[in-house]
Order: sequence, then C-alpha cells, then structure tokens
Amino acid sequence: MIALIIDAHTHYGIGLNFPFRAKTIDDMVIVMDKYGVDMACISSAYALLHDCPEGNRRLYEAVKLYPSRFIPFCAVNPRYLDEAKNELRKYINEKGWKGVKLHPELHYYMANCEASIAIMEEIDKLNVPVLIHSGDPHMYGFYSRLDLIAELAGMYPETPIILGHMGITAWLDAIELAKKHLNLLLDTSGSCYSYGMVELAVEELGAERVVFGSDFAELNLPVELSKVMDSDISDGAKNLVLGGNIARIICLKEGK
Amino acid sequence: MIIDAHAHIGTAQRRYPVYIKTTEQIIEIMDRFKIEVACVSSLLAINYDFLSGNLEMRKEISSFPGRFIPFCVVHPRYRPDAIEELRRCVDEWGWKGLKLHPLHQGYPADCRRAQEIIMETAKLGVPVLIHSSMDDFTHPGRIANLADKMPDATIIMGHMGALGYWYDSIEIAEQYENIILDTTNAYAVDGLVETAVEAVGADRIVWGTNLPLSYPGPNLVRITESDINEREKRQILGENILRILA
Repeated sequence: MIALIIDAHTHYGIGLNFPFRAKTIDDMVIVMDKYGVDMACISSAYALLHDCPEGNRRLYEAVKLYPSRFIPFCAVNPRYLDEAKNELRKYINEKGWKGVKLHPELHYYMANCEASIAIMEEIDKLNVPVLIHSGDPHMYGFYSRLDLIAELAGMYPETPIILGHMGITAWLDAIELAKKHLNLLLDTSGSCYSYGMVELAVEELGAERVVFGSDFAELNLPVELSKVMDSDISDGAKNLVLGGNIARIICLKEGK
Repeated sequence: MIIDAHAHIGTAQRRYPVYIKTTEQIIEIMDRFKIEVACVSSLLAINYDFLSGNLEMRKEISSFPGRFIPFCVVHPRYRPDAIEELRRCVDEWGWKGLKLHPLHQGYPADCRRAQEIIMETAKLGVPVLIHSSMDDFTHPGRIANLADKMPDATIIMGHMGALGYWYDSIEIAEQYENIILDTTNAYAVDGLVETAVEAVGADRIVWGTNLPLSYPGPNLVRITESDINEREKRQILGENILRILA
C-alpha cells in the first residue's frame, strides 16, 4: 500500500507551446485528487519561460490557496545573478520555500558556468535541495548535460541535487553518475518509459535515491505516475520513490 | 478488444539493458493489461540482421497463436533480399505489415530505396510502421515526404515524432490522409491525445506499448485516461488497427 504520494516535479502557469488542460492551480488540484497525489513540489513555468520575480510572485499567490498541497520551489536565472540572489533571500529565507529550481536549457547557460556555480554557492548556504533540469545532449540536454551537473554535485556534496528527468533518454548515464555522487537524486519525470529503468535505478542506488516526478501540468500526471506504479520494485521501495524520499530531503533540511 | 499496434519480440537492444527477456513474459504482461493481441516486429531484425530476425520471431510467436500480428522488417538497401523477404513474409507467411526503423538501420526514412520498399507495401496492401523521432533520419518531415510521394501507402508514424515533434506529426497527419498517428512513446505532454483527436479524428490514431522495451502502463493510461469519448477510445485501442490491417 502506498502511504503518501508527493510529486517532486510540477509547474504552475501555462506556456503556449503545450495544450495545458490544467490551466489553474484549482485544475491542478482536481487532477492530483483524481490520481491520489497528496502533495507536489512546484515551480513557476512563467519564471522559467519569461520572468523569474513575476513567476515566483504568481506562484506565491497561487499556492497560498492550498498550503497543504504544494511545496514551492524558487525558480531563478543565474545569468541575472543579483536578481537571483534576491529571489532566494525573499522566498527561501523569508517565506520558507523548500527548494530551488534551475533550468539551464530554458535559460540558455551551461550547467557548470560561472553564474551557475555562483548560484549553487548560495543554494549550498541555504541548505535546501535544488531541482535541475537534465537531458540527453541531443534531446533537451545540451546545456543541462549530466556530466556538467555532476560537476556541480562534486563541488557541493552537501546540497541534494535532484536530476530532473534523470537525463531523459540518457538515464543509464544518470544512474552511473549518481553512483559517484551521493548527493544526486534521480527524478523519474520526463518521457523515457524504458522497462527496467526504475528497477535498475533502485537496484544500483537504493530506493532512497529515486524520486517520482511528473512534470505536470506540462506533462500527463497519470502517464508519468504509471511508470513507477508498473515498476517491479518492492512496496517499501515504491513508498520511498513515491513520496518518502522527497519528504525526507525537505524535512531533514528544515531541521537544520 | 485491446490491440497493441506497436510492440516487439526479442532481446536485441543496443542502448539499454533488456529487462523483459522472453516472449512468455510479454504474454504475461499483455494478460495483466488485458491486451489481447500485439502487432510485433523483431528487435534482432531491426538492430542487426533482418533475415534471421524475422525467422527468430516466426518461431517465437508460433507458441502463442492468435496473440501476435507479425510485421516484417527489412533493410531497404540490402537488395534483392529486401523485396523478396517482404513478399515472402506477406505472401507465404501471411504477415500483416512492414516495420522500418531508419534510425537504428541507418538511412534517411525517405531515401530512394525506402520509397521503393514502401511502394511494394502499397502493392501488397499492407501498412508500413515507421519510427519517427527527434533526429534527422526519422524526422517527421521525411515521413511527410513519403506520404506525399506515395498516397496509396498506409504509413503508421511510430511515436508520432517522439518528444520534440509531437505537434509537427499532428500537422503532417492533417495534411496527408494516408498517415496514421501512433501514440506509442510519444511525448507525455498533457493533452496530446485530445489535440490529435481534434485535429485528425480518432479513426487515424493507434496506440502501442513498445513492449518489451517500455513499461506498458504509461502508453495505455495515456489513452484510457484521456478526455475523449468511449467510442473514440475503442477506435484507438483496437478498432483502427484492425481496420488498417483488414
């Protein structure tokens, strides 16, 4: 039996490139209820596609309506370093948000560039996890190559780094890098359905290092969820992947 | 009746370790997800040698009569065997379609030899299932070119462009009526099925699992949980592929 489902990777706010059936925060909650998702880590799509301060502000307003359902992550663009630091101060320090979201692909910076390292330095001091988009070099992963993110993981071993999409099609490489860097966690969201992916990740790294994510409302929540549900891992492992791990990461950090 | 339009037999896979290793396991999974029949092609044939691959699959599926609809694989540039093999599979063995994987096989989807073999499928009256994804060899534009040049061929666009080109695939299917969209391992974007149904109609969409390489749940749930009516779901889940193969 599944105790608690926490989605480690969702976004609020539509982008015009996708249909977005769940257009509002209320729509999102309806879909989460339908598929038994208790809580979701969420960051602003508006921030990733356009304007971070305005995106974070809109997310702040939206999640106020559902304080027990959403765990907001602050999205920043390291290329606007002063603004980014300011956003972290405002939302992590002052408003108690639980994590940071970085998207090198959408913000067009190499994951290991100077600005990226500068913002990781800040995140490291804040003691919160960071969710970083990752991909395959030929599929949404030019700037967010796994080895570049692994470099960050090596520099900041105390900061939990959630590898968004676990490299998409490059998931085998993601598992390999996570073996070397114990602060890397793999997020199952994205579009690779390879039979054995979740099983192998759990076998190689332990269930503690894999988190369920959906990338909802861009992507399809039940589709992404069924990948973990179908996987041939124990109920205990499934509970960790579906919510236990992300709860642990966020609570532990809160206790510090 | 649930019919999987896109699955495979075998263990040949270059990129990932194969988790589901036997045809018996595939049958078990099909039973668990209430999939009665699966259209299959040989992984060995796609990845390496089509003659031994087709033969291996013929042997594998013979133990499960009624559960599999075999598609023949050939490499269009390996001639004259390619055309002979297609004719043998269809005429002598009663196989129902052709599967091409230009990315793994290493040729542009709309190259001259591919066109010739697809012309042959039109003559034989069987559909061709072609992989499409975010790469040059299987770019949806190349599939569109095939559809444009050969209006008599029924072209099933495998993965409907995969991640990046899901919408392009829909646009192309709007233009060419001989294109069937296959949602197997298409992008998980929320609203994909609904958008496709609205644009081209539910009668030109099929679904598949990509077993044994992919989890069946995501691909099945994408259809069962979509906001389309029950009739449209039945069409996508089985009626369409039956009509195409008839």
